[in-house]
Amino acid sequence: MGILALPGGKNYLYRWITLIISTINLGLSVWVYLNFNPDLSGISNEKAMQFVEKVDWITIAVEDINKIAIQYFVGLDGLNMPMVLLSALVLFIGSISAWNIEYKAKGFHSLFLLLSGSIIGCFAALDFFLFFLFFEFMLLPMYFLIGIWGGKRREYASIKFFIYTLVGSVCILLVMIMLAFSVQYPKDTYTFNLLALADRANFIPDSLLNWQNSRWLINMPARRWAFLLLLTGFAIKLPAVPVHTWLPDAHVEAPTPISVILAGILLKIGGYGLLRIGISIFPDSGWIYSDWMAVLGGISIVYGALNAMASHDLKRMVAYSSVSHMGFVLIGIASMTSEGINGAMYQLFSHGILSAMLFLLVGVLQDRTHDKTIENYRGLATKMPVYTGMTIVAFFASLGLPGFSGFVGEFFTIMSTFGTDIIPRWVILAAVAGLVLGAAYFLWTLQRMFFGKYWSKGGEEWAVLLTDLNLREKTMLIILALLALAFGIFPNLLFTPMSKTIMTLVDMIQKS
Amino acid sequence: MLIFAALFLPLIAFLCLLFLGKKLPRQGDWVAISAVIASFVCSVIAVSEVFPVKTLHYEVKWFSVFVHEFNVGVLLDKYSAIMLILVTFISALVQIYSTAYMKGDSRYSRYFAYLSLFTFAMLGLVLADNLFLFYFFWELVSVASYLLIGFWYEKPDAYRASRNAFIINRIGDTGLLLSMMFIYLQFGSSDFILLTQNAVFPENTWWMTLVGYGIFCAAGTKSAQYPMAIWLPRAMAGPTPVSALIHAATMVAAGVFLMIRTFPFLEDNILNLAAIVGGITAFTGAFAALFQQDIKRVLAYSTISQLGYMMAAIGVGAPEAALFHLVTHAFFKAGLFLCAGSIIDALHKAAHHMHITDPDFDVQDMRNMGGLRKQMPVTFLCFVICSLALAGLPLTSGFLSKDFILNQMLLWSFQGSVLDWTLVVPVMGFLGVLCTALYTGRQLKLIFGGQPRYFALYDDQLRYINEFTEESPAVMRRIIGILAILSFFFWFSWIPWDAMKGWFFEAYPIVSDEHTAGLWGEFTHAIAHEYTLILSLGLVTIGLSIALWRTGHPNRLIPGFVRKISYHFFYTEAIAHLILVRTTFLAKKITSWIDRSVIDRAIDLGGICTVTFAHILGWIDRTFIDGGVNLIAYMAGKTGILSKSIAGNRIQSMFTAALLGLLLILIWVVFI
Repeated sequence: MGILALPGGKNYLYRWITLIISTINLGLSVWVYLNFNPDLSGISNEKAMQFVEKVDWITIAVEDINKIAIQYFVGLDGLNMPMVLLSALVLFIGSISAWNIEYKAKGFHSLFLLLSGSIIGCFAALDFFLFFLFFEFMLLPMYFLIGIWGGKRREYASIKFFIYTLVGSVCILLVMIMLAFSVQYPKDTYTFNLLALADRANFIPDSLLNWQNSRWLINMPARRWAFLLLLTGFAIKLPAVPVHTWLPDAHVEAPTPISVILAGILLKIGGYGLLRIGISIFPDSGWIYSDWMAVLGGISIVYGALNAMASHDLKRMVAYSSVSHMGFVLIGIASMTSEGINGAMYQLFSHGILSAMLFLLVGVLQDRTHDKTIENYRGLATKMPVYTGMTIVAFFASLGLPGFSGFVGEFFTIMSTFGTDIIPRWVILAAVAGLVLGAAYFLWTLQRMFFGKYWSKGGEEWAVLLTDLNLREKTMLIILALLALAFGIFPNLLFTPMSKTIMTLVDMIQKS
Repeated sequence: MLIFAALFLPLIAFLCLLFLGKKLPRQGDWVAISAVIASFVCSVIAVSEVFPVKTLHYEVKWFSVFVHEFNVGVLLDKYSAIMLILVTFISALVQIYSTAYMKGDSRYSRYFAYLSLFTFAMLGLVLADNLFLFYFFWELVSVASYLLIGFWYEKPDAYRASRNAFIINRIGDTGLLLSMMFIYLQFGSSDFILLTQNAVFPENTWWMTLVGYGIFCAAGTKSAQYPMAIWLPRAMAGPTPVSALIHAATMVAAGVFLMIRTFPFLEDNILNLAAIVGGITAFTGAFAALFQQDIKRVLAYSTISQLGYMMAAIGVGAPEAALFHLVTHAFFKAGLFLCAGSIIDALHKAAHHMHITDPDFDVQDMRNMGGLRKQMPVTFLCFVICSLALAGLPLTSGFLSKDFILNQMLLWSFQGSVLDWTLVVPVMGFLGVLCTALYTGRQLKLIFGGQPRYFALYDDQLRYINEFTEESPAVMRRIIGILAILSFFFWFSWIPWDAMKGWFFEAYPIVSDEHTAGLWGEFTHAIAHEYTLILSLGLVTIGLSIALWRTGHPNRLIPGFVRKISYHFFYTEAIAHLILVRTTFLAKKITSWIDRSVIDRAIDLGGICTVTFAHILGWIDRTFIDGGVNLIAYMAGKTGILSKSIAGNRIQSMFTAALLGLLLILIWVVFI
């Protein structure tokens, strides 16, 4: 059942087909969520994976008796099940918000479906090769979706996005190549099976990446290099400062549904990949570099928040707020504790919902006036009360108000930093400062755009254009707001399925 | 189960009003009001069953992460009991009052929705049985306050004030957040009962100290202690009933309540800090109120000062005294604010009637008032009673509670040696008493005493605004009447000079009763009580008489800079602006510069370099390699032509020769 969603979608696809497929997709994911057994651990134990599909795909014989086996291997555990659910949710919302794409709709929707397929594939994949394949496959539609349906500087943005992500992919690819001849499972079979890679017993004694760190490359064990490469690759995706600058540009230029997917799902692959591939395969190196990760996270939080405050473009502001929020994920992962990783996963999920909501809100303005400069609006509250109400909800949820999902993730990531002594203490201060700055930039924006007497740069012309939310927009936003509320008030919705898997992962880290 | 009804009724009212508000008759104000009254009745019944000895504790499992269990529950003990009744009662009064005050506002139903939300949040905060849940409501209270301060969001004052209040509180809240995390990691639970009764506290561990500082930081911000208090005076931009409910009676008391709740595990150095900060706040607040012109600002600074007394009371080890003052203060200060609201409303109507268009005319400015006792006798009477309670004159509730706190301050300070730093606290406290009397007298005289001051052109004649001012509607009069009556002593103790004999301290027996001081020999509660009585009565009398005598006369005694310092609250806000806002803005500029000019520039440069390099390679490719290939092709062509001429232009024979060659090669490969 794992691929649920690889849409048969090739062409002739229009909004209805997209919507129906997304709905089916969502339904299946919810079904998976409901049937998910939270007592199974996953990570390195194949029997504890659920909804597994495993087919031999490519088998190449090398040397005498050895062979390389690449499998089509998908399955879910507590780490990727929430991500699949999130993807289905966000894609569903995205498909609704893509309703008003008129220009080359056919192309848009086919690329959209291609993207959906690769996203879910990427999360569900349990074979490194397959994961990488899907990972790269997301890049392509994304490039065209930004490059063709984007804003004024779309070409610059899409190229920048492409190059950044490609560099990241190259790093990941390098690690994959390094891993290729290091692990045999079962015996005599070189494998990319992620579960097998996560088990130290499967490493060949003298191979490049085995646990005894026998091989050194330029003053450092190869395992550490591999982890650093993965960290770079996924930090770009996450994104973490200083490799984040593709994000604001890509967002500013991307059309609304693509922004929603980009922030809502694609960034999550950075965090998820770091856990599934980085930490699971190289827990020892992860342990060594956890302080680096924490520092990166702390810097991202403050730096992103400050830049969000400095932004004049509403979408850029939201994009930088994503950078800031993703910093918490890094901190949580870096703590290497159960609370931290739980918190990081929760933060990923919650940010998926909230950033989708934020970008939809920006999209509302973009649709009406094609201008998202903060200074060009004032006092929108009198003109668009429902819109303002939804914005207030989204902003407060994003600044980490208890009762909304954002708080849970932030709470546990910060809490985890106390529980571990591998993280420099000032990172806590950075995280806390991030909370305050978050409140500052969100409320400041709220005040500048929505409060005061109504005024807009476009005068009479805009006054006609600026109508309050229509039914479609309201539906999407209300669904997301309710989800944020539900996951904020009942954290068990996610903690229950995740905790066993994460506990296994943490055990594994502790043992290393 | 009554307790749950009391808690959730306001929430239901909030949801009703939010979604149906305008469709309901009377825009649904009755929904909110009946909900809060029902909530009050439920609270009273629920409390009467447990008060004061029993406690009621419901708890269910909420969620768990790793080893941490999080519960959600309701705790009704004697502390939450009194708060529960206080909050529902004042909220009910304020909401009834608001039906008249907010009449005709374009977002009337939304106003009541927010008030209901606030009431719910406050009740949740009071009833929460653990710190985590407490934090939820703590933040929700901030949000409700944000929405209500900024209720008139068209006004720049209002939206700026609401933002400032939220952000400053947020800074304080991080302290609570961090403390809570520490507590979870150490105890695996933040249940109040566990923390205050059963837990064994390691003495003097660094994290225990940090927890204390964190809690004090949050409590001090919410309860407007110096210097975090800067948000409170600005918050007066909200509607006046809101100021009465949130920024005088309930929300600002939440910080004090938090300190009372967590009192058992606060360390001595935290308590000392609380005492000092509380004392300073008591004085600075009162001092700042001395020269304010805005009627609500005087009350705001006065609130800060009174909160200082409460905090200091906790600091000197008498949380019960703080709770007592919290209760009495809630009544008389809410009364004062609602009286102020009544005056503002009346002047507003009069100004409207006179068609005053002067943009500088401010109905809240006390310089425009004067002589209002004749036009607004009921308001006048109530204002006087509440003011006297505030100043701490005998026969009022304020006298009972404030003297008790001063008494405790003295006792605490005279422990050990008499002349040490601890003396600062009672000195500040008594100075505060003097200032309180001064500003109270000044305010009374400015508003009600003397002759009318503001006049404007009406029907081509200069007329005083007082001629058009009328006493406020009956609803408002009754509410302030109730609050004024509640400011008398007999509600709390039958003996007007001794709070210890009243029901309050029977229910909340104070532990730290007897102290002895080494230097002065026996120094007991009774002796301290006499000192306090004499001293404070003297100060109040002096203060009130000076104020009533000198107000309105030109001022020769006090130099201008003192007035300025007082008016600007020691320039705290300007300094905070410099430290917090300016640095943040500078940092923001730097980071955005780094983003654009360093990172992106580097990336673009990298891109340009790559492209240039590629062009160079391309040139090399075209010139040398392609050239070489072309050369080879050219040579091959020439050779072909040469061999063609050898083969004599016969294609078949060429093909045969080629095939033969291939065969030979194959044979060579396979067999040899």
